Amino acid sequence: MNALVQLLLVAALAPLAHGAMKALRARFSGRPGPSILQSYRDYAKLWCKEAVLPEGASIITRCAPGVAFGVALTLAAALPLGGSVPPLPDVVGLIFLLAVGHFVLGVAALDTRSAFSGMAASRSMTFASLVEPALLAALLGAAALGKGTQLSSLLTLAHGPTSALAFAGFFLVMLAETARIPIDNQETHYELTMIHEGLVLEYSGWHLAFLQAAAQIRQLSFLLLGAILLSGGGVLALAGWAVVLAAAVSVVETVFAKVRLFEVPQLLATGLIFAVTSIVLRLFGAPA
Amino acid sequence: MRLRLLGAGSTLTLALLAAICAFVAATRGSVELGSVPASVPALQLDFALTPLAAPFLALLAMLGSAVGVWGLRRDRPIDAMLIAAFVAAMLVLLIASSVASFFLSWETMSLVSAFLVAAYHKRRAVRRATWVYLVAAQAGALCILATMLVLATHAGGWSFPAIATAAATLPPSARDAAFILAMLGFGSKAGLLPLHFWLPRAHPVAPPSASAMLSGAMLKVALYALTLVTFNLAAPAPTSWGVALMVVGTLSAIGGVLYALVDHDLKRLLAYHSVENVGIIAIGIGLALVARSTGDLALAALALTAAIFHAINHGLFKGLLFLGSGVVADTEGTVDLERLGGLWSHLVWTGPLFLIGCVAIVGLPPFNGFASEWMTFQSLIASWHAFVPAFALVSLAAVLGLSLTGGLAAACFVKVFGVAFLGHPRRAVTRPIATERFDAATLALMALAVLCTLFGIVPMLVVVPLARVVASTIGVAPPIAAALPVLPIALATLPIAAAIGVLAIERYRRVRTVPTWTCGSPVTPSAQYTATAFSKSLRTIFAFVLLPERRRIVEAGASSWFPKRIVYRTESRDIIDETARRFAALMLQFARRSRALQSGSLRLYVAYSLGAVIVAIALANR
Amino acid sequence: MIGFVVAAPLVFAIAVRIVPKREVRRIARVVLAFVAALMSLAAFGSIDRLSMLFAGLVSFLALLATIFSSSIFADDWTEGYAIWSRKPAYFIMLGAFWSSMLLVVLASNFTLLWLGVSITTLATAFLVGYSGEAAALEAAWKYLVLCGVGIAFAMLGLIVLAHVAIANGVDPGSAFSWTAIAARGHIGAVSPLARVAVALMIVGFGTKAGLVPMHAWLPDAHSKAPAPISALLSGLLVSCALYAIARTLSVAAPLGAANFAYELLLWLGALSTAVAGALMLVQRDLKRLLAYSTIEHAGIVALAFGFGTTLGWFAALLHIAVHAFAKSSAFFATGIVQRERGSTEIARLRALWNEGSAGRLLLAVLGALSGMPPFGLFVTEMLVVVAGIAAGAWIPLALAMIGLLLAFATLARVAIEIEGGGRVPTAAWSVPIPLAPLHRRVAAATVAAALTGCIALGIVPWIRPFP
Repeated sequence: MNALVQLLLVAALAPLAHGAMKALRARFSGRPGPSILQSYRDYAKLWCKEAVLPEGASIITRCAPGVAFGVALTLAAALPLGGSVPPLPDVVGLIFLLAVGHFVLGVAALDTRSAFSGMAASRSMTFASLVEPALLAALLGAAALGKGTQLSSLLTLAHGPTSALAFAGFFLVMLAETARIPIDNQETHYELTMIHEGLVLEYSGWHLAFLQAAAQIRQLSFLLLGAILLSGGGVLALAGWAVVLAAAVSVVETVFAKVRLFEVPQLLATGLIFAVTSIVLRLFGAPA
Repeated sequence: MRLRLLGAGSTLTLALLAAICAFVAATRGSVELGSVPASVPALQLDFALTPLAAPFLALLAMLGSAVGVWGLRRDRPIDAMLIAAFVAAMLVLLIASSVASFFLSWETMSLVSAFLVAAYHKRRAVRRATWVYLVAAQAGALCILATMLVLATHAGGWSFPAIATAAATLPPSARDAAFILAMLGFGSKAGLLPLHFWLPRAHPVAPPSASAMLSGAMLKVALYALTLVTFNLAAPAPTSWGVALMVVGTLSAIGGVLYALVDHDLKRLLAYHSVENVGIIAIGIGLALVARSTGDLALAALALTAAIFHAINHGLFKGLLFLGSGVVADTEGTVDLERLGGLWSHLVWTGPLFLIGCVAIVGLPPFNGFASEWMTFQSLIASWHAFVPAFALVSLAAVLGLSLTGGLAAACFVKVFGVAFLGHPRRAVTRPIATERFDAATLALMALAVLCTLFGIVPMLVVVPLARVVASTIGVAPPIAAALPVLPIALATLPIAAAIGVLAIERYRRVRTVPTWTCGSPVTPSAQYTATAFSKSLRTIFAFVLLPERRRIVEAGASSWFPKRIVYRTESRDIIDETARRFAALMLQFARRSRALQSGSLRLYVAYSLGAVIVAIALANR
Repeated sequence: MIGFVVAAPLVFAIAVRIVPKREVRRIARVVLAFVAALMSLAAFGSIDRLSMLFAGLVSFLALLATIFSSSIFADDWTEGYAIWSRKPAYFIMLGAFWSSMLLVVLASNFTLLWLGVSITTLATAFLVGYSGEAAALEAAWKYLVLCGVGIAFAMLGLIVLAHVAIANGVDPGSAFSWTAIAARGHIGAVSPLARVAVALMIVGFGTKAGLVPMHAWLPDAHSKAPAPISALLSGLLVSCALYAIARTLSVAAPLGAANFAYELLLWLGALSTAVAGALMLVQRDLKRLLAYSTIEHAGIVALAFGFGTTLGWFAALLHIAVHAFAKSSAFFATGIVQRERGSTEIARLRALWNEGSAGRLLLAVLGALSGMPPFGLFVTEMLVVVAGIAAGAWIPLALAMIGLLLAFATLARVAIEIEGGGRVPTAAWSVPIPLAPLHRRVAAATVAAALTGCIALGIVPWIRPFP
């Protein structure tokens, strides 16, 4: 029951978080920006539209939105917020879960025969493969070492300089995984620079609604995961840190420019190094 | 036709025999099967069932029956017979229990598989590959023989139980010599990194069923032998062996997948993935060795279970993929990814089954690759706590390497499946394409796919018997995480349910199809993303390993702005392969030089004889 | 008695000339060869086991060579092809060769043995130059000179040996008899002369065995001779020379020179195997390649003797026997191919697998020579490694293993290249002469018989008790 509540809550709040970040970024860059409820309206709009698919697309293209959505929901359900089902919140399992989403969307993008989608699939898989070790290292670095791979161990985390390093790694990886500047740009309309948007270029209508929901739920899940790393429990603290993180991401998006494609690996490697350093320090007995 | 039936029939019978052996070995423990005495004790042929061989026998049974069924439909008759002989050799190898019986069956296995590799000997590349394979196999075999003999000479006995008993008193130098030789011999057969060079040549040119057996079964047999030596015949292994194996395994995993990424010959790509997966298995075995030598038996058992589980799984999904690529080769006449495309629409059976293979090899839930890779991760992460920091660092590197490998493998199989099976064909298709029908070959694919799925959803089907086997080798049962039985289902339920939900909604909501929008230009098959393009970004990022070379040939047209044709070709150099080639060339050059010894001058020859006499007499008077 | 046995092949070969009709003569020749081979069994009562082994080998393989010769050269003589036209001498010299080898292996002392070895050189020198081609004549000449040098060394060695034996108290009348020397045993201090004698004899007989560095004549002689003669040279004559070395070893121990003899053989063997393996890599002619392979195998035998253990001896003797069968079948098969394809150049031979039984047998033969199961060389080479590791002779063994691996690499490459691929058109100058079906079948049967022997001998260690 708790699990269901957690799942629904995250799913329901995800568009709000998305809208809020969008509004915040607009405010930072001096634009009035949309309402923070705009995402909900977008859903209503998309839901009413018919879905259009490219000719000759196979069943894989039609399954992909569902799978991506399911992956995001599973991620939301796995967060150690008190309502997660026991085996789910497993660090390694989650890495593989995210890979499922990447794999399915990548295959579906090649199914559309569009070169833009193909390019996006290539880039998405490239960065996903670099994100995986970094994310794993960050979460493991933050988790109590050697006490299993359950995310719940994050809640009993002690805080200190080494866990801060792990968090720095996590933050960089989060930017990549949630398609944010400086790695990706959610609001681009230029096909050559798209990564995530390029993957879903051929989707429309209610299919797109599912994909957007998936992206937004994933984003909120990552924000919450970061908040857990920082706070270590307590609903209020969690919410507070989540807001702070959202704001931080917005600031980063405003201040930085998107980096060149082949500089992304360096960024991700930096994240990996942060995370690995924290693990190594812990292995050699440094306090948290 | 009759020959093919005979071959397939024998393969199936042997598979059944292997299944029985596996069952007996797993339930009854070690069973002596008999022995052929020889006047020279070294040649005594012993056969016994051991628990350690049981999982590999089971793999041989599963893969052998699938390949046998496949052979009914697609193998050439002679190949069907050779496959039966190949299975027989591996079966005997797995029950061999003395030096001579092991080595005899090992050589037979190499020889028979070389005949399979040489199947299409009219092509020069095939003959070359066969030769490289044979030489690598023979060099490895000599190392293996030396390993066995070092151990047996110390033990003074030639049966494996005798050697294992005497292993405790091995002097360190002999122990290390045995290990290094074993790593060279078994490592080259298994395809571990610096010695893998024969593998991407030999596996792709063999018939599909042979490739499936080579990758799926023979590499595993080599790993079985490596496990046998390190855990049994030369036990207890020092910690350094395990560390060495983990390092080599990690390098193999990353190297294998990187070379696979930039390769666009489907079968060669799959061969490189074998290097990758063997690396993953080697990491598990190495970790088990380290854990065992540091006294953490439970961890050792867990790591070994994970390694053997992954060996079985790799056999199944790699068999599926190689057999699937065989169907592709048969219907399309090529396995070049740059020329394939759109297979999904007419390979209505192979397409989905191949997809299952791809998802399984990438290690995504709920398929079998996930379960075993997850277990490997679990044991590696658990080792951080158990080991001293220096070993934990190795283990950390293995974790990172493994997760990088997983991501790269995902990228690679998105490329394989997306480019080959989806979209339009990338070449002019002249003849009408018939929709695939269900036949024996598809049945074989389906059986393997079902096993991949089954072992993924219910990993305990394998893990529980495996735990008993490992317990009898190491002495402690592996602590299986409580999460394992439920995790695959938990992770996969929502995505699958949501996908079904979306499909269900489609029944009530309109979905319109329109031509793909590519900025207004028409969508032509050649405008699709290609395999080369897909791997471009990873090729650039990992250029320091892959050393890509590109050639652009521009045929000048009316003006330099409108060339007639542009050919763009890119190739990666396999450094190790090149080193091996250089070494061979050097040897040949040395041999050419040494021809001067044989100049044809009689005076010189007489001088040789005189010199020999003088030296001999001088030595005699020393 | 033994005199009859030894003389029989030569006598029969001459006697068969009486038969006027060619067809009848051929049958008579084969029947008489059978009789001669069976006669050697009669000598078994009065000789020791070592001689028995070699007498059996000589009889069986010489018989096969006679049958093979009479089938493969059958129509040369009817149709008068230039190269093979000097018919009468061929079988007589073959008979002389056979007799001289019997003399070597049945001799009861070193004098007769040495005499036998000398006669084999004479008899085979003519056979090597038999075709009359310039290259063959040159090969025969070099063969004569180098083996003459070798035999001279052996004789010197014998004289020194007799001196040492007499000094050691052996009755001067039986100073050349190994039984007498062995029976007397060693008394007093070891004379360095004993080691000199052994060194001279090993180098001398080693020349005939083709051990490096006295091997230089072998590749030429073995590859220029007619195929059946090559088979006997490589299969038997080398074995006989190795037999002489074995006899030398048997007197080295009683004279106190055993360790030196073993050491010398160990290094000669390792060197031979490695050098032959390296030189095999660059050979372009199949027969020449097989000749180098003979050096390699002689090296392995010397190495195995050199371990100086019972197991080493067993491995060496079994290896000699198995190699004799394998190498004979190799040259027989090559002979058929040479006839039918008109060339033994590796680059010209392609797609033999699809060319009837001879091509397929050639593949099996190459497999046998490279030490693959199920052929006997697999077993014996494994035994050699076992013996070597047990004896702790690591460096020579490793050297030999490198040679073995190089030889394997070459044989594998040649096997793949000549058996696979598509057919290469024959050049204008080469004259393929297809055999009549019956003769081809008989010739292929001899190859198969020799190969069967090679497999059958391989399972000896599982049947016969270890001596």
